[in-house]
Amino acid sequence: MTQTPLTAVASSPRVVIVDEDRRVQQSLADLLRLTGRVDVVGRANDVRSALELVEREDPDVMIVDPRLPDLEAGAALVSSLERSRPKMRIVLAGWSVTPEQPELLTGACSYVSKNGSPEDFIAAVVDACCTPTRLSLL
Amino acid sequence: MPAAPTKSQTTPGPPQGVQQGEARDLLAHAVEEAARLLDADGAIVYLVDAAEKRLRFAVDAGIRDPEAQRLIRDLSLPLGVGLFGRAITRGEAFVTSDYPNDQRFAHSPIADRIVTITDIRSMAAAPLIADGEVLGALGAYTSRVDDFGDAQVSLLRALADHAAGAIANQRLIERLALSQAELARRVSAQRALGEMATQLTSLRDPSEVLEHALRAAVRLLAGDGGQIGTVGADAEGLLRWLEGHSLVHDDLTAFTKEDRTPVDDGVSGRSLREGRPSWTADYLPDESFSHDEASDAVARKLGIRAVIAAPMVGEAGPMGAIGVYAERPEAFGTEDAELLGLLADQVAIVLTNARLNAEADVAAAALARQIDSQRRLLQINQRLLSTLEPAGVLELIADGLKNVVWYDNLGIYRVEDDGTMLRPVLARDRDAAAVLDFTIPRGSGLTWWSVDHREPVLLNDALSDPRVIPIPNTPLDPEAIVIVPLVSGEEVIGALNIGRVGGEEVAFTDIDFELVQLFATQAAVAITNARLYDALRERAEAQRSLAQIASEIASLHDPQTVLQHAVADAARLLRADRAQVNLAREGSEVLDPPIASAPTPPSAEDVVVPIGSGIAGLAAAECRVCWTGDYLADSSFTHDEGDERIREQGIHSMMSAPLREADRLIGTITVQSKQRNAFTEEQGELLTLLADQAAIALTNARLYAELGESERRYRHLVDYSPDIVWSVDADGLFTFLSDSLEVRTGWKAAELIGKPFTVLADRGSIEGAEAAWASMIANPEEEQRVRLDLPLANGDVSQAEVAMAATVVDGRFAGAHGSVRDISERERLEGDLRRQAGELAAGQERAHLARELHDSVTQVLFSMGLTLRSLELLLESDVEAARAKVTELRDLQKDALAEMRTLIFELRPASLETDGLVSALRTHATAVQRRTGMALVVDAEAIPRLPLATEEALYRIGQEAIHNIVKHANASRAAVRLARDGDLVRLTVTDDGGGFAPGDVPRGHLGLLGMRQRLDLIGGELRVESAPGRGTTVDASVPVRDEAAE
Repeated sequence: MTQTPLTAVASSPRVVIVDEDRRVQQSLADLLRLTGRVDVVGRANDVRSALELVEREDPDVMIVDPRLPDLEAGAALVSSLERSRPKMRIVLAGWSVTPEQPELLTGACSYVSKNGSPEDFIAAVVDACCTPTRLSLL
Repeated sequence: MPAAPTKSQTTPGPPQGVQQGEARDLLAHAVEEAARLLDADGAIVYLVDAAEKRLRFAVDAGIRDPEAQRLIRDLSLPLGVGLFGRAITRGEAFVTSDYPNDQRFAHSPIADRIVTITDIRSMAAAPLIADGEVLGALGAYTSRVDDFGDAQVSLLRALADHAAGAIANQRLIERLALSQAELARRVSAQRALGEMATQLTSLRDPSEVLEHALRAAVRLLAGDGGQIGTVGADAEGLLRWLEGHSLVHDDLTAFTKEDRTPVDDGVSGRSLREGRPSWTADYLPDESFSHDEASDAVARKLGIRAVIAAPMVGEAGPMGAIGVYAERPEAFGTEDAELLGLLADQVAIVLTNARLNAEADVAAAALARQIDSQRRLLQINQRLLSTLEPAGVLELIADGLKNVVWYDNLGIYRVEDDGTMLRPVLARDRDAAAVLDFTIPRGSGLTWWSVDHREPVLLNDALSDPRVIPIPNTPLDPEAIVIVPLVSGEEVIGALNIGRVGGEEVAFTDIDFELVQLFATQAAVAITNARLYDALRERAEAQRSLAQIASEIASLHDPQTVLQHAVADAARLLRADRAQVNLAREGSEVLDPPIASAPTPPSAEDVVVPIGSGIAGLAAAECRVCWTGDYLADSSFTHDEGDERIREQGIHSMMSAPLREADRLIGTITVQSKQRNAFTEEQGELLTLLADQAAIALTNARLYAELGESERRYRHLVDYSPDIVWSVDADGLFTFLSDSLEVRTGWKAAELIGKPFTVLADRGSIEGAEAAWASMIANPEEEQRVRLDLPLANGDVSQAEVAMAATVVDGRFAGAHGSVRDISERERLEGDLRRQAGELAAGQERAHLARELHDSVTQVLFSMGLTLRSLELLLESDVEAARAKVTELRDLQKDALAEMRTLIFELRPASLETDGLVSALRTHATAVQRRTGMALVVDAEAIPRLPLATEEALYRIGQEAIHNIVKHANASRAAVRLARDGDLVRLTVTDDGGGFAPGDVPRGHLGLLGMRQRLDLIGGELRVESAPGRGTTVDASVPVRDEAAE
């Protein structure tokens, strides 16, 4: 696995999708691939498989609907990964207009609402995936 | 190779090779040199005409005589004749010293004549040989005999060699020039072909392509006309012309239907058969292909000579042919064939592309239509989720459908609850008012046919079908119709029909039909929701009246409890510190001490209240509600020694209402508060209501209390009780039946006296009645109770409970007596109450589950949104992939429907009645499997339908167990099994997940408690088996009772 370059993301970011609903995973993955801007490398539907997936693929970005199936599970996953994988970006995709758990957004997280049109949603997700988050410089 | 298409000016006469000026100059120079160097009178060159194997005169120097000149110019000798011919056949110089008399060579009379005129004697000729080929001969002559010596002959030979080399060079140069011209011509033809191909490619209309190609071919091949056409195999496999054009000079004619003849004849036929270009030098006399009369006639009429044709071959075989003709023979050769072949290939490609493009256009239009319908269905789905009110959704469905499948009229019908009518609920456009006016009676018309057969109908010629009847006040037009029954679960709940006025041109396609069915599915959901909504409203109303009935029944039996409730309610509702009821005995001037009070019970310190003084006394005296906001300071009523106690208790506000029976005072209900101005007029009304309720209870109680044990009262009870009182003798024959028999059953007592008691048991109940009779005789001391079906005089049956006791006279069994109570009404009330209790208990959980399910439907709709977006992106670039997306959308839409169905079970458990437990479990399992990807098998054997309460309990337990697996088990597969096991029905849910140690489950987790409670209510049992790493089995078993034992 190559290191993510510090200056800029040269190639498409490698993305994993974590969502309880398999169909959402599928349709989101398909649409993301069609944009040609991100590289979807895996999908998971619960906390445990999400952790395994991240371990295996070392993705640049994780898109996650934190209800897995409840918000607590999602929060646990996110805060655990923020500590163990500080360079991985996390995109929270939720149903409310603003994040239900603003405290999660302090780290490498951004929030995208599933409530808008598919066009807006996917544009926001791609933006969030492709925008390098701040990297902690020593 | 034919001559170039330009009409070059070839002059007859000089043989080939000498027509060009340079060659002639060369030879003229050679003869002059020969004459000069050999000191001869003249010199001549003859050249070989290789095609005719003759020798022809070419040039000369020295002949002056006009006759000799004319003769020699036309001279053509066979090879070997004359001196020149001799030199050529020998291949070496030949010399004669006296021509006319030399017999060593064959003489020609014309040549000899020339020799005579010109007076030639000596002559020498040397062959012109280049690269081993004899081109001709160079000779010289004199009028002297024996004039040429060896030196001259050698010189002539050298000159001949030189001239031959020059001629050969010249020929090479000419050939080179010719091939360069040919090359240039080919380049220009290729360029023209390329340009034409580009032009063709830009055309999309196949007919235009054909026209362009034909004109280009005639132009390129310098023909006078031609024809081009597509072909197709007919039923017998013969290729026939389909469409195309003929071109005669500049006149273009399109093929007509008559031109669709087989194409096995002629040059085109041969080229199609052989799959390569074919041509003839002269059409009519050529026998190498078969002729047909019509073509020959055309060829004669137009003067067609040379013809060339090439097949247009596509991937699937020959697509057509292109032919060019010329009015001169031998106009076409190999290179023309190659050129026409290339052109034909080009046309085949363009036609194939045009065909593919047309197909792609059709496919894209169909896709766009599907996308539009999916979008609209999505909208409808969202609307369905957000509202129970169906009218808006049906309008949306009508709008949506019109955009995808246009119609002139639309009607949506609902089957009336009693199943006798189809009532229009929405009509659109043509004759809408008449449609809405007409309720279709059962069995009439095609719509009922479709409903009864559960079969969608597509009928493009409605007038031809005898099942179709016109709606009153509408015209009978030719029409195409589609009717789709609306199905919810197992039940047909209505129908949707649309029509188009017109003939063949308005026919519905299979795709139309399929789309209408999709929209009908949504209409079915909307109408189901509407029914559900109505049912919910009706139930709410029923519950309210039930509550009243229940309170009346209660008040009849236990007045003390009712009074206690009344004071508790009064204290709570009026926020009083104390509430109490005081009774007034008839004729008494005081109210007795309180009989009930709240929050504390009556105490010994409570005293009587004189009627007329104090607030309660005033209310009693004036029989109206009275109150004060500051008791002690209020002088509007009479005060008494009770004031002291009021002061002690710190009471300021008081309100009192009378309890009345008819016009008579029976007591008061009073509330007190330590606050000032605590009570309002509004609260006075509330207190009056409570007072009235308490009064009714008391009245009932009093009525009961006043009834003694006397015979009179007994008679009264017997006659007016709803129970039937009876007695029988020792043989079980009726000896007495109370008058209520007639009221309850319609039988007259006199009709049944003397008949056996079993006449009051319906067929199915006789056995039970006789069993009770037998056990009563066996145990005369015990009262027997039995439930039986009571046959009524009008043929109906009513449920009844019979209580009976033996009549023992002098220690001997002498018969029995007892009562029959009609319990149908009680059964119903009890059932309703049970159901309400159950619903209340499950309400909270249901709300929770409903929310979860709503989320799952939302997820599907969200996925549909994303997939639609993908589809939009793919539509431009990749139609195949887009098509796959449409399939995904369809699957998602099915999911949404399944989730909706599950949602309906949540909202309305009674849906289980229509769908049944097995179907409901399958629907739910499918939804979960699609959502989570976990393999979930439902294995249900045919079990009898169970009581609704049982089916609901088992459904909820199954649902809860599946929920647990998804949430906790981390299983890859699970199974739900429903089976009959003796007199039990067993629901088993197993998974291959992580399992758990029984001790590890915290109390209240996994909903096991809830499952047990549900099962307790219906007499079932729950067993849970699990171990870490070994999966989990949840097993619920419920006894199936026979109806008789219920």
